[in-house]
Amino acid sequence: MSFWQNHRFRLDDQPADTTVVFGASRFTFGLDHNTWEQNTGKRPYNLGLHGASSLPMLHDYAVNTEMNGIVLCAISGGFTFANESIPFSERIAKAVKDINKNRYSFALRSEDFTGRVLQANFAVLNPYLYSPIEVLREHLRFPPRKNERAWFHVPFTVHHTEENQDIYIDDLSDPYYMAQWDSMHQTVLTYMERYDPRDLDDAIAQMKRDISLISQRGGEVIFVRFPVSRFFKEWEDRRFPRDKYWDIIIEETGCRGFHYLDNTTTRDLFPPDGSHLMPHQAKVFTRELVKFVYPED
Amino acid sequence: MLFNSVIFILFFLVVVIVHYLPINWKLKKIHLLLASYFFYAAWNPPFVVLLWISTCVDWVAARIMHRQSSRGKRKVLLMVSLAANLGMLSWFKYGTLFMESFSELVAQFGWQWTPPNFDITLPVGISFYTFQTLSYTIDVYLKRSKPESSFLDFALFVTFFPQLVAGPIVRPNQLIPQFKSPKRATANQFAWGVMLFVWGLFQKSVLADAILGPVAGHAFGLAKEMLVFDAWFATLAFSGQIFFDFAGYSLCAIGIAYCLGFSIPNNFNSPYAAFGFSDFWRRWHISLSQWLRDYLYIPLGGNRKGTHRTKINLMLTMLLGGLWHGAAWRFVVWGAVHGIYLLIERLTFGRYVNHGKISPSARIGGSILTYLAICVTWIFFAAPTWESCLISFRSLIGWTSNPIPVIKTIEIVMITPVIVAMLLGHGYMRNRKLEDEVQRIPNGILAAIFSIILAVVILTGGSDSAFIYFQF
Repeated sequence: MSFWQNHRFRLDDQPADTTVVFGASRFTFGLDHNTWEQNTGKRPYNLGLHGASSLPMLHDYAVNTEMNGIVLCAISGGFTFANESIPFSERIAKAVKDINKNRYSFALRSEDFTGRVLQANFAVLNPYLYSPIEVLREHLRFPPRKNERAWFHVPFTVHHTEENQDIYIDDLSDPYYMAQWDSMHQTVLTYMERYDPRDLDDAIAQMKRDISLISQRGGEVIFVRFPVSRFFKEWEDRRFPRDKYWDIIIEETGCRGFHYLDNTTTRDLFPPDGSHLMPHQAKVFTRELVKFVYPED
Repeated sequence: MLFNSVIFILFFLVVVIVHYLPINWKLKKIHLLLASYFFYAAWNPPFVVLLWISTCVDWVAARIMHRQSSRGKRKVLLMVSLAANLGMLSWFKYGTLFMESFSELVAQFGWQWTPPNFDITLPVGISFYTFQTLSYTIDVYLKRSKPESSFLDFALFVTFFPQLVAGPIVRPNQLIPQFKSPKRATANQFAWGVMLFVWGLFQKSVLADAILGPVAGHAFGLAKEMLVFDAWFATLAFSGQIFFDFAGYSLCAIGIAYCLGFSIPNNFNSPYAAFGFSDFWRRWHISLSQWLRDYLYIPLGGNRKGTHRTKINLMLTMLLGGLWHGAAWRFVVWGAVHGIYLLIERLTFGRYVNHGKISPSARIGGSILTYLAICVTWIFFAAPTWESCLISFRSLIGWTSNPIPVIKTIEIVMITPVIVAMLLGHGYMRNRKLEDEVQRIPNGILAAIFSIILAVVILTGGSDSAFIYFQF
């Protein structure tokens, strides 16, 4: 989590009115930063992290910063309300909890610095592409076992650009990759079924407190619901139906919310893997999201 | 800072350069002490105060104690040292566990008490340096040794950075005498130190973190019923992960110390080739086992007060040894199971374990059974909750209703040779020394192997995960 924490520390150096993005991988894959910048003149600061809930991030922003820009906060059913016992949910909660303790950790800060310098100058030091272990995992291909709910290695379909802010998936035309992504997502859903979600009333109460703090200093929180498809949509519709989650959150918090189904363009976006937009879809989604956030433009 | 981080390599390079400058020995020791404080503070600066408290309390207590002839006053001073060190350990490591357990206990009697949320952070390595410095005070109390005359040497003993945060737990008589005269490694020692460091990094970063850890972490973290094969495979994977994680770290520490001209005792000696459980504890985390033996088991009476008392002493030692490993009751149960293993061995086949006439096949069979029995106990470490423990144990014996595969085929293909090689390696090295075996390899081949290992370590990169044993 040192990467995320260091990225979060750099938020403190951004202008107070910077647009900040909180959420899971749908935001990291589904927001096209260049498109956003072209349409707004400013680049958003993306703190999205795969598998993470946006709620601890929102809380940290509310209590540990004095920022007053727009906050785009993803609501993604399972991830947002995931039980903090789930490893990928626990780590963001812990990272946020330790933010102030780690702020003065020389080890953490310097690791980030050296890592960035070295990886920027020596491509071979990217373990996701050149680690012999990852290369083996990539090239020794085996089909998933029946009903497999295994730990997942992210196939080489994920690409990073610009200090990992623009992350995108491609090449899902390969059935092997698609099977790997499906297997990975089934495992994620199994985790989220295994542990009961957070209590919605408690979560909303916390969100209202955080939003109140942000509003008092002139900021605005906007909730965003990204497109889903296939078994992911079926699962989220069943476990986190819109009328019991999204609608209640919007009503209780009084915040604006961009739900992909409410927009005639984004409602037809179909993430091929069920959960993440492809680069060309991310551009479309981002344009529509900008129109929603800045309606007068 | 982690050994497998770039910043540590830079830090270490600076330390080595300064250490080999032509300056006097006292200045070099001051430099090592300051470097050690920097190493510790780099993680979380305020916690360096704990090191200072520990150092000062034990230094003063031991010196006054040595001058006292009254046994009562000596005991009071020992209690001061124990209270300061174990008090800090208890608060930072076990405070939350004890308060939550107390809350649950009183709730059984209808009293609702919510423990205050102190948000306690565990200082890195506190269990290690607490035990290390306690051994000094206890030795002085028992008149096994005199108090150290040089505060600088004592402070460096408590703080010496190679083994500060995850052991080995070094005794005063193993390290302090080495500070008395200038130390510098010969070219061969330096090269050997570098090799141990890189080999340790390989075990930690590549084998534990990149290959074994993710699979074991997922299998036990998911807490779903697994196929019998997957449950056993995940258990074996964790046995490898915890060994390579900790033994790898210990090797790094030993290698770093070698490069500076110091010698730290070995902490692991092919533990999975152990024949019986007492043999296992002579080979696994040797410095802790010996500490518990010398400062807990023997002072409790050891085996000198009859069979019944021996059993109690053994169980108490293992229970506390379990608790030392983590602030959760699962670790205590883990210690209890090991205590039971040792008792069973003592009461039944113990007399045959050290019998020289056991056939090689029986010895191999016994070692395999020992290994499997040890593996089963690792589930208390690997599973994050009691529920996960229970599900994992049920999965091991097929007592499941809807088991699923939780390990990918590619992981099985990659992990199998690692586990097999680990077990064969332990079997081969059971009565051998690594140094002797390495010396038999021709230099060219050794250089090639070392280069490949180094390349794999660099390409695999650092990891976000801290050493498992940092939490202890």
